[in-house]
Amino acid sequence: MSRTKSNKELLEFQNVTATYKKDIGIFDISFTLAAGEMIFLMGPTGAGKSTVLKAVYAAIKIDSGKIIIDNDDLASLSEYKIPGIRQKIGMVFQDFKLLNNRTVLENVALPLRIMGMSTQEIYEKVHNTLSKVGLSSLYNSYPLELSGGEQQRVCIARALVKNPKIILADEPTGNLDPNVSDEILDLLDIFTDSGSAVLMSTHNFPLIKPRKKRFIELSNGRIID
Amino acid sequence: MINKFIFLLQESLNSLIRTKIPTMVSSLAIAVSLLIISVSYCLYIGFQDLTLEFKDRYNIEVFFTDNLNEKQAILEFNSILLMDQIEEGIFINKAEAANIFKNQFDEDIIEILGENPLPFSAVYTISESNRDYKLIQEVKNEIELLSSVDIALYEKDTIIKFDKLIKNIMVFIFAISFFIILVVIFFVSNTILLVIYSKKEDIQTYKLLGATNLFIKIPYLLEGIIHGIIGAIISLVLLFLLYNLIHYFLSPFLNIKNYDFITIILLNFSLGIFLGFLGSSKALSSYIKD
Repeated sequence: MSRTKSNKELLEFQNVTATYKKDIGIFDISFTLAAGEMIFLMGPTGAGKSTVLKAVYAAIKIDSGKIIIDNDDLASLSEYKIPGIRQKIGMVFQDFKLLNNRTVLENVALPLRIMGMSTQEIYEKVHNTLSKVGLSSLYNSYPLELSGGEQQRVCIARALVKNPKIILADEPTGNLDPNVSDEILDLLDIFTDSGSAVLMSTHNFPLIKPRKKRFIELSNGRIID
Repeated sequence: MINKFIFLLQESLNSLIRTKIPTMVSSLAIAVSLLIISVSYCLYIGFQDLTLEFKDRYNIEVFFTDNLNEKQAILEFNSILLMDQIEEGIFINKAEAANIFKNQFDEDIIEILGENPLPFSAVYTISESNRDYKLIQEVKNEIELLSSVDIALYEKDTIIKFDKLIKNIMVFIFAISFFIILVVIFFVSNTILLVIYSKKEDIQTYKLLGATNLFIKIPYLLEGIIHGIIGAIISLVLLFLLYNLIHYFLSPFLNIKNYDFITIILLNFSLGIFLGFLGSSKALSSYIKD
């Protein structure tokens, strides 16, 4: 189910429908995400923003349509290949999903550990990434010793450390105050300069409006034109 | 690959430190079971020696017919001695039989009766592979078919009872060991399951970051194996103390056997690792589907 795409398209949704149960889910979603692009998925709670992201990281089964990442169609991908797809994507979560009994360094190193990199290589990459997100001095702290904004930076560092082509961010500013939220968006924006792409869900329109980025508005699981 | 393995080993060691109580409980459960199984094994070995000692006394007494003279009786004695099931034999002539009678009853049969009516006889020891009451009965029947033999006797009831007792004890030891193994697997499995449940959010994060099921499972499998190794060490220490205690108190009265300690050490480690691995595999199979 592979197909050739233009070099700029990193992710493509083709008429994707994915449901939890009848009438709940996303329906006939189509869009593309190009290299260097940042797209916001907009809409109220229950609109289907998180479901779009879940479909990308294969946490929900696709009923129909195609999701093309790196020439692979997720709809026809076997179960055992899912970890490989997830290793290629960076993920940022509203609730951070950090391991609270691990230091910042250990949390950020985790994706590289999963990929089987050597300790030396891991330490170099982690320290580089932590300095990019401004957390160099906190590498030995534990998540619960950090503020919400700092924890989200750790989460972003964990997503960036493996140099993914795509970052999925599910309401990354949902628990943060406006100033910190802006800083988080700046960080993600900088990431697109290197040619990677960000797909971010949010219901905070005032936050994204000044950024003049493309956004997709969802309602009841469908794109509003 | 090696980087991953080192990391996963570190993960399981860290987890052992973080989950001290479940580790202790699981290791102690394995230790107690290994201790019971080791003691059962020692009893089994000791009992086997006792059995062999007792079975050395599995004899058949053969009384020859009166019409034979001593030379003929010795010929018949030798022909029976050639049977495969017979290990060795002792021929008893009339004079020796009278002596035995005198020793047993404190009476001289020749003085009482004026003659010696006792027949020529023989006592045969059964070869090791035939020391079972069914096989002994077959040997007895075969001997009794000979025209020169009046009667062949053995301690049938005692042998039947002893053979049944041995079988029952063996079955009991194996049943107890099997039951203990099942209980411990269940116990270790539940302990590991508790550890897994306490880390279910971490496991979810691992999955979202692209960890395979095998990557997630390995630390828990290693953890189970380490529980088994700790259990084996505790069991061996307790066994050593128990052995020395028994030796100290009972050696003046009993001949305490020197066991093959290498076998016991290997038994403890291999069974401990097996129990820990199986326990954690069971827990993982009910939590993480392949």
